[in-house]
Amino acid sequence: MRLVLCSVLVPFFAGCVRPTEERAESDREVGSVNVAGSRFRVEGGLAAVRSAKPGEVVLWASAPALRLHVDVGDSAAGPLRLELQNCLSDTELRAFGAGVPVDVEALPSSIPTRKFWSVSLPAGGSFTLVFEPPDTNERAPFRFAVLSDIQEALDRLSDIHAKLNAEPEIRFLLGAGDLTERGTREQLERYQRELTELEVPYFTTLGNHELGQEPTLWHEYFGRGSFHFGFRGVEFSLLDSASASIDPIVYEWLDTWLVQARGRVHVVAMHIPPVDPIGVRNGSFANRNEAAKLLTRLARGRVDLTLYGHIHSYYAFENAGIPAHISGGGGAIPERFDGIGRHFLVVDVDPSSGIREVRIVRVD
Amino acid sequence: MHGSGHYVLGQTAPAGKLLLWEAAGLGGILGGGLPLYFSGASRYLVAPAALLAGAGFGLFAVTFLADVYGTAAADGGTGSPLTELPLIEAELGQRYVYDPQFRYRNLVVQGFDLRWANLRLAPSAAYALEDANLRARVLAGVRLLGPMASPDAAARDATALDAEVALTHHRFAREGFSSSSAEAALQGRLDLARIDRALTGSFAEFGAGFALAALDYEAPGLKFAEDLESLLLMRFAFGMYLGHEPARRGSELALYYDHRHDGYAAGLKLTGLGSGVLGHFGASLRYFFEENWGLRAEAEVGSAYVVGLSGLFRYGGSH
Repeated sequence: MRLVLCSVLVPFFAGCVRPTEERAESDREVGSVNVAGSRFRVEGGLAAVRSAKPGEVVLWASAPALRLHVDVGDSAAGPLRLELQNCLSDTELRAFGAGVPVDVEALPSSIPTRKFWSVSLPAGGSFTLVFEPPDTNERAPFRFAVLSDIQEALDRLSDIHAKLNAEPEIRFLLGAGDLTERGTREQLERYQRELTELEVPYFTTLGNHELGQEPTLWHEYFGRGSFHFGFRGVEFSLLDSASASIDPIVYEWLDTWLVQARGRVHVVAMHIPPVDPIGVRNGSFANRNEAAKLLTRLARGRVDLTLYGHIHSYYAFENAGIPAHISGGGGAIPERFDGIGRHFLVVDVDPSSGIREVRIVRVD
Repeated sequence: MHGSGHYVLGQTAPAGKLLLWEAAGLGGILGGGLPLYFSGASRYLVAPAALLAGAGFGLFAVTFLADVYGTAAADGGTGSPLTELPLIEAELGQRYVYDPQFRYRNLVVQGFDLRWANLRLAPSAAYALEDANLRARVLAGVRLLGPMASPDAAARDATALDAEVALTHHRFAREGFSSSSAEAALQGRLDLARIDRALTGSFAEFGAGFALAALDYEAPGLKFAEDLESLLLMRFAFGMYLGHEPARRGSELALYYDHRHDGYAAGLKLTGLGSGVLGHFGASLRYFFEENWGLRAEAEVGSAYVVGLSGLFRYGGSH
């Protein structure tokens, strides 16, 4: 009987100590594509290639500013039509070949977060295309919002978007995952359609609910699970903690990002928080030791703010001395008796002085 | 349906009892699980609801394993329980840990289990050979009922109830943090022969408690107990005694679930909806090949794989 039990139990749990590795490897592939001899690569994997065919590339941005490197094939000819989805409405495109500007034509768009351009890139050349709003490098205070855990409440997303659109001066929406119920192709496509009514882009990592498909379709639609970008002097690191753990590969990236963000305001967001303020619930990392390992790194890296989802309520607390906010108010089954309900957060940040304010905006 | 094995063998009495206990287990799963689901794991309900669901799942698993055991084991069971505990039991061994998050792999473990009448003191330690990692623990307990380390208190079986408190310090020098926790728990064992003779030689264990951990991050500006974390402790096991000879008493095999999310095995990493919630599963084999000497083998699966072997020495008791 011992043999029978062992042969049932061991294979059942085999391979589950690093469920994140495949997704971290997938992150490396995001933003690169070869089309008809031309090679396209988004720096830092900060955009997903939604489609690519000769003469046309469609990207889904994960950050306000992108750099796209293009090695044009010898046989490529004609103008290239570029579509950037999920971008800031004032995003501009500049293109360079060997340091020399290349002419770019902006095309009309009816959706604020979608921009179109046409650019002629001569065959055989290497070019860098820079997509960014004019204030990217301006070190001045700005505002962003945070929304997570929508899941089955996709049908009720419109009023959240309306309220977000009514909030003044929000530059973008940051997400900590669980946009969909199961991460199916249909749900991810539906979510991206819903986002067309939002006037700002949604830069987000994934949650455990996006892991309903094997392998997850997330990278195909929304890009990397773990990524880093800077905007107006503030650094943002989004980490894939959807399996209640962070992959060792991502820890290596995080170490680089923490060094890169030294001396700057640094915001870190992920889906499952390392520690649940209600510890007996353990809506947190599977391993408390790993949680402490991560928080030690964030504290040593002088991170200014941590943002989490997963728990369908709102908690403001500190972890390892860093202000922390759990906000899972997108409409998924709420934590009862907490008096919170659907909500999102609005964060005012000053690159000179840090986080000015995090306030909750109730939707219901 | 649990009990169907016994039913096929014509043993309707144990079959009915196992079915009843299975139903109670399912009731616990629903009774705890539904409030968890519909309250969105409310902070006000989560501890009792999780305990109820966990106990229900434990009962469900135990009745399944008991059904398998009862139909496979010979009359009289696979072994007999220890009815008088040794005064001292010492352990020295090695554990191999594969945790992708940490560098340590090989640990030396050592511990003593000292008993006097109904009192117990059990200091233990595990330290890594190739990394700066140390886990030290002291457990103190009072046996409220069951066999004790006294010939005057010999019990009829190993059914027992213990109240335990423990202090644990786990230091991760390379990563720059440590955790110090205090916990209190009730642990119980029931010899299943008390449920039905067909289950003689097997036992079930249930335990529950609460722990509070103080985190100490080695980062500028942070102090000891910068974060305080609570843990729900919960454990259930099914096991069988191995051997009837006096020298073999105390030998047993147990399969268990432990809800702890700390320690070396910690919690299971599940992809999807259950991420982060479950603790770890394990199997433990203790076998005394001689009156005083034995071996302990252990395997656990959580955030890490843990396997290991220890030598055991005991003195005193009824073996």
